[in-house]
Amino acid sequence: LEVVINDYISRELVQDSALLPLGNGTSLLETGVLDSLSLLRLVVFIQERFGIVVDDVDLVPENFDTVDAICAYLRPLAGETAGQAGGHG
Amino acid sequence: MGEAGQLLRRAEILAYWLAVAPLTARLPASLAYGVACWRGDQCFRYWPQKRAEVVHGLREVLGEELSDEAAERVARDVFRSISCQVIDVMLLRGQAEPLERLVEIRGREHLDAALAAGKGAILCSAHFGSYVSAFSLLHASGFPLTTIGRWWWNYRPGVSLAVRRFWDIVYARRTLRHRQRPNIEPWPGRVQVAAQAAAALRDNEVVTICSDAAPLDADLTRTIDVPFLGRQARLLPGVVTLAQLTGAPVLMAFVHRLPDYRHQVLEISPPVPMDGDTSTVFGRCVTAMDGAIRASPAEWDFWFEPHDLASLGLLRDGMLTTPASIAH
Repeated sequence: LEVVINDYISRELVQDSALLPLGNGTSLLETGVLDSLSLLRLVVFIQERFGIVVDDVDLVPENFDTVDAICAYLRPLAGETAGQAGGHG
Repeated sequence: MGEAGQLLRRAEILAYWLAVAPLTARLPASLAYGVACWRGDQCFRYWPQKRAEVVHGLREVLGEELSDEAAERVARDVFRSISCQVIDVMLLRGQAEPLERLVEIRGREHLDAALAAGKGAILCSAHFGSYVSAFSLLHASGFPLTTIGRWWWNYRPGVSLAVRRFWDIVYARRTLRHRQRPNIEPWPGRVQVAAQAAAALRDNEVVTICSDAAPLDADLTRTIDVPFLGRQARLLPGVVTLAQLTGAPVLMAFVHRLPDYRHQVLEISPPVPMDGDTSTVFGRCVTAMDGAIRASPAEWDFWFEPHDLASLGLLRDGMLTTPASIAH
């Protein structure tokens, strides 16, 4: 998960090449990598790549400040999504 | 303006919003808007500093299109327009029927068609005419509508708690009654704004955004330079990016007042073509804003707010003689 998220952010959202390679603990908010619209890009990517719909109430800096934080937030949801898919299958 | 003058000005604004406009709005519309125009004329006459700022902004930006006499006339209409907007807000009472009777909505079919596609719709407008009340009216007429925007009193430095409470009560409460969701306020650091707007669009709702907003300092790196009112203005193309990410169509919407001051027309355009890069598409939106403002210059709020004109890059010399006004 970390590799996929880090790769997407590095390719699509990082504009300052000095931030590359992007550390999983680097603050995406303080470095300006994530703003409102780039967060939306990321949310769309997560939905398309993992089938996870990010709830409005979860759109808080704590869940998206670093690659590690994003993965910690997504991991339980990814489990739920896989479980639901299995249940329907 | 001296301290006494400022106090008097504030007292007049308080009285107008709290007593005069609510009572006047109960009168027949021709009388109510007549009183509003009279009040606008008195403000124009007895608030020379603001009047000078408005005329200066008009001459700076539209200079070659306006004679001195025309600039004075448009400036007077700016004051009238702002006064009339208060009556519009008062007419949002109930299900907004009193205002509905005075506003013709053209292009409703474009919005219906956009929502039929199921991806919501983005209404792109400007701080032009009675846009806040017009959005409330649209919601009251059956379109689930949410606005992306900041209330000015919440972000300008130096605005006291009492002033913020005042505007919340007399203005925000009346208009926000007619919204699907609370305003989505794009403060610096509020990274969830675009995703909240996307959630509304995903639920096939209407999201409005005024794309002429002066960028905050924190947003300056994300602005693009676009031709606007004869200059290269710094504007945020977020409306286009939001549309590209969600697949929602962008429709332009402008409300303007007819010469009798009480009737208005809200015009909704067909979807803006989305072919081309972000700058190209946003350029189409800005061209539409530019056209609306040139057609009815008195309706653009920013003549009253020279700080905003300066932030947009529209004032050459940045004549900023007073703090941002508290008036409306």
